[in-house]
Amino acid sequence: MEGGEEQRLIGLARKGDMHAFGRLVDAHQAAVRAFLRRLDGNAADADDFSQDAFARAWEVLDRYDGRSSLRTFICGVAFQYWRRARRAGARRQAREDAYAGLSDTETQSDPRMAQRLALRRAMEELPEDQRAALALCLGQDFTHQEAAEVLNLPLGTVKSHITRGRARLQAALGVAAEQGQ
Amino acid sequence: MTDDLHMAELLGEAPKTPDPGFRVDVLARVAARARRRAALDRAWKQIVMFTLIGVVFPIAQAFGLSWHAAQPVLLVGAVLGFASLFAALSIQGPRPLLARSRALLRAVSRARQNDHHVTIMAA
Repeated sequence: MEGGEEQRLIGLARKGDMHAFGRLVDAHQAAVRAFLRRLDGNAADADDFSQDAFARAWEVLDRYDGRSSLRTFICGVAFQYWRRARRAGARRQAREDAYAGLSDTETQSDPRMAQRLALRRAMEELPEDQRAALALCLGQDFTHQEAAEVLNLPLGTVKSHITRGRARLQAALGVAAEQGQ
Repeated sequence: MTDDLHMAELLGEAPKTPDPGFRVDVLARVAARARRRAALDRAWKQIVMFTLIGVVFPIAQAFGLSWHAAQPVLLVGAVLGFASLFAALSIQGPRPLLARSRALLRAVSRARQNDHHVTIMAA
């Protein structure tokens, strides 16, 4: 979606036009959902956070000043929702229990599943900000600058998070490959 | 292959095309949140209004205003209250309030008619 068209839709949405807001949701849902799926690991929870983030974005659209892209703004809101829910703790525990149940059966039969679980475990061990930086930038959806805006961190910190986090994930994948052989 | 895209794909893929269901869910959530906010606003207004009404009398007594001396003030208050109620009904329309009262009256009269009918049949 071009910048001019997006600004026009934002203007309409601010006046209460739900159709215009629906088009903005369509334009940005892929990026926001992908970010949260990589961050959280559970597609259903991730989509839940994404929907909450879009609904909240509708409420605070007047506060959006246009200095960053709308996608960045919504991802920032989504990250706050995710962080709050994570601190509540219940989801994480449930997911870890589920992985513990899966690890004995799935890892031996499907090397791709083994890689996925190894990556997910490695992600779980990373600090929140590092994990979010990776979730934003790994799929090349966001630039480092955009990730810094989403996470409200200095650019240098984001770059260092990505370098260190990537190394941890690659190490985890190496371990998974050895287990698969 | 352990490049970034491969790792991103393993961690979670983006939906390939915009999902209309997702959009509908978002809009439903927006509407639900707006309803919840409106209900909360109404509740706060009611709490504040009834608190003020409840606080007026003790304050008046504390300042030595007796029931007899306060009668003109209360009369003016009551008139203003009725006037504002009338104004609100005129502006917003009487439908919700009156419809509820009419439905209640209809239900009561129907119940009475049924009772009367049963009594006649029994006789």
